[in-house]
Amino acid sequence: MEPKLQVVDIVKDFGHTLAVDHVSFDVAVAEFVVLLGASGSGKSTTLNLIAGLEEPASGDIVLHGRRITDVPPNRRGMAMVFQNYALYPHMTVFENLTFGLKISHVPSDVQAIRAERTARILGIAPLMDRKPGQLSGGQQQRVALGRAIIREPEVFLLDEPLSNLDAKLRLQMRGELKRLHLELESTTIYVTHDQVEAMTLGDKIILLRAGRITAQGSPQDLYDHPPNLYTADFLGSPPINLIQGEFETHAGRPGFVAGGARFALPHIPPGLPQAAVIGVRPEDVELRADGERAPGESSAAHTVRLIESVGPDQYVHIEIGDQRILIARRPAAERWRMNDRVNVSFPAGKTHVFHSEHETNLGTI
Amino acid sequence: MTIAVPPRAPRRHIRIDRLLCYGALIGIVALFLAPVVWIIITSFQPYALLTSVPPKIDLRAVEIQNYKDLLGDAIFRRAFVTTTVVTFGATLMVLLVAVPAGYAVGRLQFHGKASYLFSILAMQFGPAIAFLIPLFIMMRRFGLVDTHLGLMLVFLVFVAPVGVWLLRGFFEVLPPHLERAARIDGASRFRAFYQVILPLATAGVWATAIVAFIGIWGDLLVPLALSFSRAVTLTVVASAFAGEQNVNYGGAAAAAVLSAFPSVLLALIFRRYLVRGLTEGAIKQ
Repeated sequence: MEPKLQVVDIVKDFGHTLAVDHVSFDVAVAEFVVLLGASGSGKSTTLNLIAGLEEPASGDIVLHGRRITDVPPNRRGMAMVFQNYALYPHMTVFENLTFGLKISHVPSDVQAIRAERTARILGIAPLMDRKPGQLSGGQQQRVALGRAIIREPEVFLLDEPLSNLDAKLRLQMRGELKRLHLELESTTIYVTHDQVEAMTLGDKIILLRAGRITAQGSPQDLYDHPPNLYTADFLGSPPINLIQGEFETHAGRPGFVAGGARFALPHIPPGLPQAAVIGVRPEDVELRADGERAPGESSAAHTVRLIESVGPDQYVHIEIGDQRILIARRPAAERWRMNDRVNVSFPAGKTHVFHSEHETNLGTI
Repeated sequence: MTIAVPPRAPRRHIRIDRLLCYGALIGIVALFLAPVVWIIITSFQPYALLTSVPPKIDLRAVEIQNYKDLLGDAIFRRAFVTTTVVTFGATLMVLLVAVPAGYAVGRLQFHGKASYLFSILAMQFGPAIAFLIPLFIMMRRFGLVDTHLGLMLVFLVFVAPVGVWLLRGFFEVLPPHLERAARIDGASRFRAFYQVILPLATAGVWATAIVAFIGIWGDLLVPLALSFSRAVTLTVVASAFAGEQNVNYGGAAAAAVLSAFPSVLLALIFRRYLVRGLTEGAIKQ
């Protein structure tokens, strides 16, 4: 099937800095695509380029197979929700919702019907006569969403829409956004720096770094098989444990040596460089009390330095030599205490190996 | 729960502070109002009293002869019309230039913005009289000396930059992305400006209009240099009461009172905007 929206090799520079550097991706009909990245990665600029609020230096935006790169934003049929909502302060909620309809000469009775329906979906019906200044942050957020929904746009563009809300409300709105997306079958591009939002909302994540796409794929796929170190590090909380060191076989036992610590490995695949960075997710780190060591396990016991309890789980911080810390995510039922001596092991198939210079994923062990 | 109450300052100190403060305020106001009061009283005094040596003021001898003379005078009436036309016209022109320019420098990014802002201020660096000579020559070239249009154009040159600076502050403090939201909603650039941004800056537009109006209405220098007979304004007429031989104090005072009246009225009516305009717009948030 032909993609609904295509971003083709777009470049945007602001004077001397290259904000978007040859970015290309497709968005399918009713797909929820998340542009994820740290601040300054070019994700918002990419969104503005799609909206037509910025002009690319080169490259194209294609909607339904039609090139719209030179079409001004008011004729692209897209709707956008801004981080600070950008509601019109002098207009009531009703006027905010219907401003776009009025411009496209929708008859006023139709405007009223659509405004009412939109308000009902979002639960803002009782607020129609209020001005934005009289609304709470969450209510303003809903009006901003309503202003986008009411126009039944080709594509929804959302620029960090939840980042101004408090934690509880953010969680609630995140769920509502997902529900709305499924209900309206809307094609959505969503910008965020929050990997949890990206993981929970996206059908597809596009991870940007310094204006370039560093990874794209389904959230689970990127989490399980990060193509590079940056992606592995960006997705997941607490972040993946990254250890720089060398592969070494000692007395016939394969292992990984880093700063005085040695981690046993089931095997060392052929063709790997000797020096590398290994990455293990906190939930994949296995712990045993010292003395229960299975043959071939890490040679030295390590010390538990800190335990953070997060309800069902606990984050066990373990010192692994040179004052470096490895975090294990263990069920709360396991009784670990500060200063316990523990042995660390990584189950087969869960250890990612990254090239120590160009940071690509060389496979798992 | 206990609420911490800050210790209260001793009462006597507050009283003395207040007393000093009000005393100073009254003193300053009196200083400013004294000449105004003197002019108003003078305008109701007969010529003979004012020119006696030493000059006398007699509150029992109040009369309106000075005003009668003035309103019967064709030159004064004509100057009143000229001043009104020129002031309204020039104020409108200032707004037509300063509103879009203030919007541009307040909300758009473009190359040379800082230099542009600096250069339009250049007029304020030198004395106005220095710019009047070249302006006079230009106006003579265009055949606009001693015309309403000529006066309006010169006022535009002097006042528009002030308006741009004043309005810029009002546009700048509006939330970001409003135009972008409007553009996405389908509005053209111009529509986004006049339906979304402009209504939010009305206080600034009013403040600019009033500042321009009062400045132009009361200006003497420009009409003195550019007008001789057809486009003479009230300030010129009022200043002409000081002849070479004698000064018609009563007439001058009456002219001053009448010509100040519209400005004062305007300032009183719109003082809310005026105060906001001169403080809010000037302070970056």
